[in-house]
Amino acid sequence: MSSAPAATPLRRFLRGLFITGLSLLLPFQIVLLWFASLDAPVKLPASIASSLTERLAAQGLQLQAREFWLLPDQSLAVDDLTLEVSGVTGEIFTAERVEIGVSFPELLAGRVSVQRVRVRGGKLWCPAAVSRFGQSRVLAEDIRLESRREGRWLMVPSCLARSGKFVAAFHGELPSALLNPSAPAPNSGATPSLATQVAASLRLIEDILLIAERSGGASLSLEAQGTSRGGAQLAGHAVIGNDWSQEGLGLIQARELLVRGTAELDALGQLQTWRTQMAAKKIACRNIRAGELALVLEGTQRLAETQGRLILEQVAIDTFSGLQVQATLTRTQNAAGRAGLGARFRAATSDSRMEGLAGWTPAALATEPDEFSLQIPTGHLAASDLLRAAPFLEAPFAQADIGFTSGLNLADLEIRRVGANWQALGEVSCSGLEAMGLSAAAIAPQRNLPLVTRFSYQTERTPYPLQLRDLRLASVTGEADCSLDAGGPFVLRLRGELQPACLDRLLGPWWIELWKLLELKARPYATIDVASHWGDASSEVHGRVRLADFTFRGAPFRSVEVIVQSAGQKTFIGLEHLQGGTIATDGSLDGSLTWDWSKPAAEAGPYLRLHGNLQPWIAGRCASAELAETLRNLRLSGEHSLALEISPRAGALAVVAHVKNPGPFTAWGIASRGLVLDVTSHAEHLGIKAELALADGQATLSILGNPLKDAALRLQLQGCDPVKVAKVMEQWEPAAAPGTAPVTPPSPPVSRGKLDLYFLGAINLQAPRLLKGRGEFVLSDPELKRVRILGGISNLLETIGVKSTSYDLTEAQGTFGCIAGRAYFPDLIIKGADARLALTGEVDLLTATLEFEGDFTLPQKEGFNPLEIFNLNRALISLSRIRVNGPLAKPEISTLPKLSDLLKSNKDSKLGKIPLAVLE
Amino acid sequence: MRIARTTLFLLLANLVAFGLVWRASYAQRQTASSQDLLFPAALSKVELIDGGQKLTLDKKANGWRITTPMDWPANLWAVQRLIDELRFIDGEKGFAVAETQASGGTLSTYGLVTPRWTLRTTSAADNERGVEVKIGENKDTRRLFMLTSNGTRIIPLGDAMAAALEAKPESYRVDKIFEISDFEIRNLSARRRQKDGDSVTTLSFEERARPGRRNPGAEWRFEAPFDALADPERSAKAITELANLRVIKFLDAPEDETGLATPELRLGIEGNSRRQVLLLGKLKTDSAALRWAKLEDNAALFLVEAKAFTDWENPRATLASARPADFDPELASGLTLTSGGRFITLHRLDATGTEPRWEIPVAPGSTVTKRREGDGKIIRDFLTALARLRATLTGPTASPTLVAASQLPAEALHKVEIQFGGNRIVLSFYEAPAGTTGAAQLLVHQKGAPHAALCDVSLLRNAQASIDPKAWRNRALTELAAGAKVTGLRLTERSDGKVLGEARLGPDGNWAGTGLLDPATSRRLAGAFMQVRASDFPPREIGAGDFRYELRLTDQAAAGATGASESFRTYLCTAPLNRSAILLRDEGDGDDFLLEASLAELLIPLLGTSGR
Repeated sequence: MSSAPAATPLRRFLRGLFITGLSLLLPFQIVLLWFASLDAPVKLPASIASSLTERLAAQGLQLQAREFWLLPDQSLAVDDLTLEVSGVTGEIFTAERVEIGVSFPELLAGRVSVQRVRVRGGKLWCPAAVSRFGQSRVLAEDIRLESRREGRWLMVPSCLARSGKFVAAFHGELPSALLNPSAPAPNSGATPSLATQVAASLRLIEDILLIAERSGGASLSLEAQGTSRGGAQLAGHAVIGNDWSQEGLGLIQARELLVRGTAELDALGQLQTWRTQMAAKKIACRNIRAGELALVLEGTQRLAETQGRLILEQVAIDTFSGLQVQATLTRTQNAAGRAGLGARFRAATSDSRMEGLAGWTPAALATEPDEFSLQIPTGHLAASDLLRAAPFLEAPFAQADIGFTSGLNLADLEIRRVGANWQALGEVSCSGLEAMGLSAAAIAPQRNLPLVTRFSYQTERTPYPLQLRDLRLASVTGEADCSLDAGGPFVLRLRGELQPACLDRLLGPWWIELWKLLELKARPYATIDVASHWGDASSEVHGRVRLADFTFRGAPFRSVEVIVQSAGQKTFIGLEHLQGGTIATDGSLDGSLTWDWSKPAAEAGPYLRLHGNLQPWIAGRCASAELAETLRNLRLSGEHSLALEISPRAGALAVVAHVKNPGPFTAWGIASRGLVLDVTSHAEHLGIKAELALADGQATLSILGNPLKDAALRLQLQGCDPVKVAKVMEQWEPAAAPGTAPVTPPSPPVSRGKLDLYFLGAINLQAPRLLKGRGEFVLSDPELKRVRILGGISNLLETIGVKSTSYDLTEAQGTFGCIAGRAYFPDLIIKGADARLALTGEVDLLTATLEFEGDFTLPQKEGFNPLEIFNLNRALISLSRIRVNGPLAKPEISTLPKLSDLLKSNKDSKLGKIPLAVLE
Repeated sequence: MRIARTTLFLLLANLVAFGLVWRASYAQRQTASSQDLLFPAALSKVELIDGGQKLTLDKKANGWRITTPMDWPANLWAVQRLIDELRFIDGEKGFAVAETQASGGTLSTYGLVTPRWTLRTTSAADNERGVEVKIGENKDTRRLFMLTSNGTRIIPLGDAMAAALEAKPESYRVDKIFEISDFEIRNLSARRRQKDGDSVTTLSFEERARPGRRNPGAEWRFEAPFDALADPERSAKAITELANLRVIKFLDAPEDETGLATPELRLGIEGNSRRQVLLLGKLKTDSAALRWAKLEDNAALFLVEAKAFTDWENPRATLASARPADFDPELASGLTLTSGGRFITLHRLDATGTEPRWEIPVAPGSTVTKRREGDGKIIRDFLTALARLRATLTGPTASPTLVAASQLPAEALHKVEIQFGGNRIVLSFYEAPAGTTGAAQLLVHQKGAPHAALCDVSLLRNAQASIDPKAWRNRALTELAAGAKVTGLRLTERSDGKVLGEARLGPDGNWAGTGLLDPATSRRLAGAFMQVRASDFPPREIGAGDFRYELRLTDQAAAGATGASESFRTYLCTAPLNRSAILLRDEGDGDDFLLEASLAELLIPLLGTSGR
């Protein structure tokens, strides 16, 4: 007899578990069957209702309702529902009735699958803590929803909501997958709380509704149509009423707003593509207003993939109005492969226009800044528009003394944000710019060319975030590095032809003082580095300036290379190849010009030190025009040395010049040598000391005092050729126009005469012939004069060998005095071996005429010679008076006595007498 | 065995229960949801009969349209307002007629015996099923009531619905005139009536090849009276504004008052498959700001703003291209500049590459005496700036300043001829007209164009007048080939031949130097001088003084089969002009140049200060 095998413990356990499960499931199914078989609503017990509300409360939802019902169609119905969210004070949603149908088979399978939703008399509330108005308000009322799930479709026969005059309507079929909760996106960071999400959503709805807040009404109508792929095609439009009850209210205002849109959902309910067209008039949002708006946008669920076209007419931002904007929106991709949005835009006002590409790439992480870029290949920005758009620029412009009236032409402008920093680069030209006195008109008055430069701006590049390269302002090119901070540093590197005054305000007083000394006839070419700080009058300057054709204190110069070094309290101006005059033989100088600004202004400078072989007349011109003219015919050899020093002293410039020419040279056409000339000039005081071998003799000249008043004059000639001296004196012609070319007089005939002269007096170099003083002279010349007693007869007699009526005079001596343009000779004795002529007379230096008269006497022979009684000559001579008058160059000499001479002695004549004023 | 029966029983009982639950649930799912809204959601036609006046709104492909009593596009807002109100009418609201009658009331109480309105709607989504309702008014309360189509229920209506019903047919008209969208327009004509015959200007949006442009795409062009480009921005704007033109007021008036029998201006726009013509008549008698107008194929008269047609009064002037030179700079193969009777020619050497090479050839009569290589960047920048020239905007309407070609002076200041292979364009620059304000303004005229444009030429940097070869020559003076290097340096003072420094690169790759040229300095200098660039070629004596120094470099070519060969370069240097500028001359070249700042800053410290 066999017995049944004993069950194993595991088998017994499994069997027990199975039976227990079936035992528990059966009553649950019976309850469900009861539910499913209901044919009238059944009020749910309070315990179940409270259990339901507690479970919802655990998820942050506070549900209150008057009644909970179980309907015959297996739906849960709630009357007078109120829903709140934990963390947000106040009700969020209320409804007269909400019915939610669930699938019991799926409920048996442990899933809550909503099959039907019906809402009547719903209201959506914005709690006070969320609302922009600070009070709880109804966002939407009369919410009606009918929806049911049919297979893979969610059928929505109607979904309506009303908020004041705003009506929203939807109908159609949608993929039922929309109801499935979507998994959170990876890397999306911390999920915000339910309260935060609800608050954000409500605020968004409130913002949207505010658009139509004060309008005549608005309507949003959406329609969905299922597609064969299980997705849905959405189409709809939104339109806003044209009548506005009140101006100035509402977050966004618009007239005639019409939005048409389409969207495509896939079978999972995911947004695939969308497209919207918007047109509106008189848009206003915060401080931005637009007369007309046309917007076409299309994209996908990723915002960065949005693209479209935007036209804004008559845009006004704050006080900036009259802007028109057109943009084409496109997708972009940055170097890292992140998608972004690009806008190829064209913006214009009545005076400005700009077109380019704006790009925006959202950051991958919320903590990082978004990328932004702006490229403007070409544009014009009027000055008025710039200041209207950026009124904050007015203050820094004023501080940097920047002003421009015309506008900016922009080219290849690129602005981008890299990390937290901004970069901008491009090219800009500007007419009518003036910065610290630098302007196109100031640099080149005759060529009003604008500023053109390439620029680069990087906020992190210190201390010069702004760099200007290939800068061209009128005739000047260069570079600049600038700080944009108040008082920040800047460096300018400029080169080119410029009008010096344009840098006056930039370089300060030394620059102004420098160019006061110079009178330019051609624009200098400068190569200058300037380093300074905004608003600081002082600057560090290094550079060179080439000047051509200019005058310095009246002296003409052909060119000079100026080396400029100015730093702190010192300004050094090196002068190289200072070529004076108008021709190469006028010589040149090298030297320096310095200012020491640590000294009082009167003593600061300039200190000029020059040396070279400049012709003295050019250096003399620095002292006075008269001196220059006086010295103009002093032509040194070119191997001479000239040292010139100018320094400030007692409020005026003191000039010291030293000229040395050991070799030969010409002085007023006379070959000379061994010149040592010292000139000092200060205020009205002039001092000239000159020593030279002149006219075969030695000359010493000294002038001290005010050359324009009565400067003390001392002139000494020893052993000089009188003819040559006379030639020199003839050329001291002050009437010659300054600047006239030096006259090269013809070489005088060789003379055997010697002149010793000493004169002491006073001279006004403006009128040297009005000199005053006394002198004496001795002239020895074998050919000084031959006196022919019988005039033409004596000539005839000389031809036949009878010279008894002719007498040679070989020496002249006497004293003289000069005053008021006349030279007085009271005791001029001209004598020879056989005769002696005693003359008194005067020379009119102004008219170069003379008038002399005197007696001609023959020496007495020793012993008695009867023939002498019949010597007719002696008789004639005793009766003769010599008269010399007429022009100095060709005087008339008469020797025959006049009756008046016989009758009237000349003892009372004042001719030749030195006036008392001279004697004193 | 007993246990097995229990299990079986439980299993069967559960299965039966599940089946019954399933059956019950399925039966519920088959039950249609209740519909309490009276009108279908998607309407395709609305007819509203108010007494004897009928208003018919039809939904077409491009929106709602009034078909009765006039034919005109409908104002979407007006239509939507009516439809929205219909949508909210709840069939469950109100009260039953029977209930009213039971309580002694009649339909006349609600004005429904002879209702004022009859509303008939048709829904395309509902197989064109129609719903017709009557709407009456209670005389006492002025409230409106709707009698459902089956006549069983009366539904009170709100004020909003009353307002929608009271709206006149005119209020349903949209004020936009053209139905053709701006992006759809391909042709446009403006025919202006004049004493000596009509003046016709025609614009078309077409793609056409032109010199200097690669694939220009479709552009607005004048077809008549001349063949020329229209201004792309202004023409697009004017056309957009025209396409979106609005009616100020619909109004009837006799023909002699409107002047539309012989319109002064006809504006025709042509879309993809349709054409609309706007006829413009006289100004309104009592308002000069308004003008009579109508569409050619529509009887409706209306008034429009007169100023909206400023651009169209003389489109050949207002819409002419403001760009005197519209070309792709990279296509240019040659350039000839003429100024002051002299000229210079530049030729592109190679057609490819991002930075093509250019040469400045010696041409008979040109300013060039020695062949030079042109600076590709300078030339490209110039061509780009030329291509970007635009007429300056002036006047209250900010219109481009254009001058008829016939009014230009006989002789141009400068000429620029740009070659594009076998094609070319010639630009002439003329003095700006007297009274022009602002610097750098010149008239620019492309040969053959009907107008010259007054342009701000500042971004040209006066290059249009630069016939000096130095202005165009390549700033890169020396660039050693790959593998070549500087192996020797010698710096001498020219006045006495004194060697200031000398350095040599040893076989071990280390520099050995004397004097100023210590190894570190030599390495930097040799590396820098492998590529010598000029920052500028001064056009005149700049005061740099004499060349005081001589820098001699030994270059070694890359070692080949025959060994490395050496060559020499000698640069004459002046004393530094300042801390960043120094004038050099390559003995083998002859042109003085300012050394590029980065190189100059290496060399200048060796040469002392700029002072004496």
